[in-house]
Amino acid sequence: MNMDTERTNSQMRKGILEYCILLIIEKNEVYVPDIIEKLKASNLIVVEGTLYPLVMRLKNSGYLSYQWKESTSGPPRKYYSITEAGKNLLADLDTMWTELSNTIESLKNNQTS
Amino acid sequence: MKKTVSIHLNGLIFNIDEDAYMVLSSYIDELKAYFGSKEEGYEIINDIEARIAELFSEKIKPSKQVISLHDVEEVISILGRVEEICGEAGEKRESGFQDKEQRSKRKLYRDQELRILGGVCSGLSAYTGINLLAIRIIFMVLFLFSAGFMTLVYLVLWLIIPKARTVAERLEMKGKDINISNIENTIKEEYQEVKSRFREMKRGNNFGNKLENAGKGFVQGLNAFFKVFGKLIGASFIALGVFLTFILAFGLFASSSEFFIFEIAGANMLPVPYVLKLFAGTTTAYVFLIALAVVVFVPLLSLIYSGVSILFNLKSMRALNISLLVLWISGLAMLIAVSVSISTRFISNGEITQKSHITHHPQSTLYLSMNHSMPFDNKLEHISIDEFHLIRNENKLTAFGTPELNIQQSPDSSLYYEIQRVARGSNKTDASKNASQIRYNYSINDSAIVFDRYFKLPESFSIRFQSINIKLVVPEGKLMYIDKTVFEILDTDNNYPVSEAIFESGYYMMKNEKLLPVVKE
Repeated sequence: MNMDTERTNSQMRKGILEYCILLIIEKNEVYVPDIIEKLKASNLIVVEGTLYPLVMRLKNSGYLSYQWKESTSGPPRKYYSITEAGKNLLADLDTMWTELSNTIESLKNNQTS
Repeated sequence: MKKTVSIHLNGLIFNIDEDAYMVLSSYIDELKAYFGSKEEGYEIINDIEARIAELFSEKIKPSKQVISLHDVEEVISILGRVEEICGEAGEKRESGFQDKEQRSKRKLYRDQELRILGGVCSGLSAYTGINLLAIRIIFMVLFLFSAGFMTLVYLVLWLIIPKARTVAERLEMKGKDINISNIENTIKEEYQEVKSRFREMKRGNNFGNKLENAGKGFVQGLNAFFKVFGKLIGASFIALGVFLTFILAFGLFASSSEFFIFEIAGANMLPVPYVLKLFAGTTTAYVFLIALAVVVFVPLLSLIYSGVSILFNLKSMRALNISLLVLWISGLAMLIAVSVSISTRFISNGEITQKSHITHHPQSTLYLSMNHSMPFDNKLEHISIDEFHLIRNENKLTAFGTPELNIQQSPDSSLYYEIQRVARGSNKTDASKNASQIRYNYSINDSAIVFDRYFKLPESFSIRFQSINIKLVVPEGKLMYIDKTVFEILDTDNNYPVSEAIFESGYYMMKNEKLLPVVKE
């Protein structure tokens, strides 16, 4: 990757990451390390450390909430779930994403034809 | 065997290897610096610490109770280094933040990744922030023009600077220059950190009070003071060590083992190695000097080294310290042995006496004078120590000494003189041999004696405290004409009633064991 693609790539990620996290948390309550498993596949992120500040920002903005749950190994864990505000945000993001991908798709098709 | 540290993370206690602890704590510091010290940052750090604790507890088994460096590195690779987190979050590390993170812990290491030889230059470059190529060029130039000295410097640096092995050490390696304002910043930062930690603690449990706060501040201030003070001590160690090394190196060695007169504070000096050669012979002199160099310079080098360690936070290297100590002790042992061996060459006193009678008429006068001609040209390079002169003429070295004359009263009417050659040696025979090699000339013509002003040591001599004593025994009342030049070698300690002021050419005679001037009408 050259410098330019790298920069664009990291800017694209920045926008998409929060959306991805919301998508994962929407399905069920999650523990932060569980999120990484799903994202690793896409090669979007590989280290857990990236998630903590993102999740924290979402929580502090009121889109996520957490509760302590006992764990089988060691001390209790923070499990995150989505709030009403979070669901609204996610719905907005869904629309935006659909529009975006439609635009991209049509642009690509136009170009090839 | 390894030292472990006990830490608690999220309410769990872990035993962790010291090296692993260093890496972990610098990792957490790094994260703290990155996430900031606001409320949100604390929460993130707490979550991450909880996760680390969880990962650690998975590592602990009944057969493995201690967290190793490998475990820590594994955990860091799961959570990600700050750089990876930045990259994935699509953020650029702000330069200001970088300073903040790296200022507090900065150490000099050898950089193995960019190395050509030992990584000394790359390490220095990372440490000082000077361009690596520039440092290499400077080193190359010094290598070429310092006649091997730079090679030594490089090797010493290679030896004393540890290489950056772990990621944490690599991070410590990169940083800003140590100067007073940065030290000040570091201290301020640490003070802030303690203050905020303290505030946190106070929030948690309610026994914090103002007094305690003040106490903490005082302790912190004291720490800061000792930190700056320590750096000053480190710097003065280096300055003193380098200064003494140069002075002693010049005084003892650099001035070469050749005959070479130099002046310090108006006094003519000879290089120590040269003087030593005159006393001990070439080989022994060199052995002595090497031993002396070890004894003198090893402590100076450790002084400089400890200064460097203090100033640049180098890890102290036990193996190096022990080997320096062993080196110093062996140097000292060698020095003592050589000194004893040299001193045994001076242990015995030997003398050879040659006695001659002079036939004389009681009424005749005895003439004493001196062949005063200098055996050397004053224009030649020469140095005089008391009555001892070293002269060099076309690479040939000659040593001259002044004989000592005693005039005594004879118990009867006999007139005679004794020439006594004295020298030291390892035993009687050796000493006598050394004494016999002293060359001294005088001439007797009827009743006129002409003494040479100087005696001479043989070629390729060693100094063995050679001297010549002349004893002239004269019957009472014998008239003598003594030229004033003779008084130059006359032993004035003897009870002559004449003071130096009236040492004039003239007639003298012995009376009641005393040399008295005679007024002749």
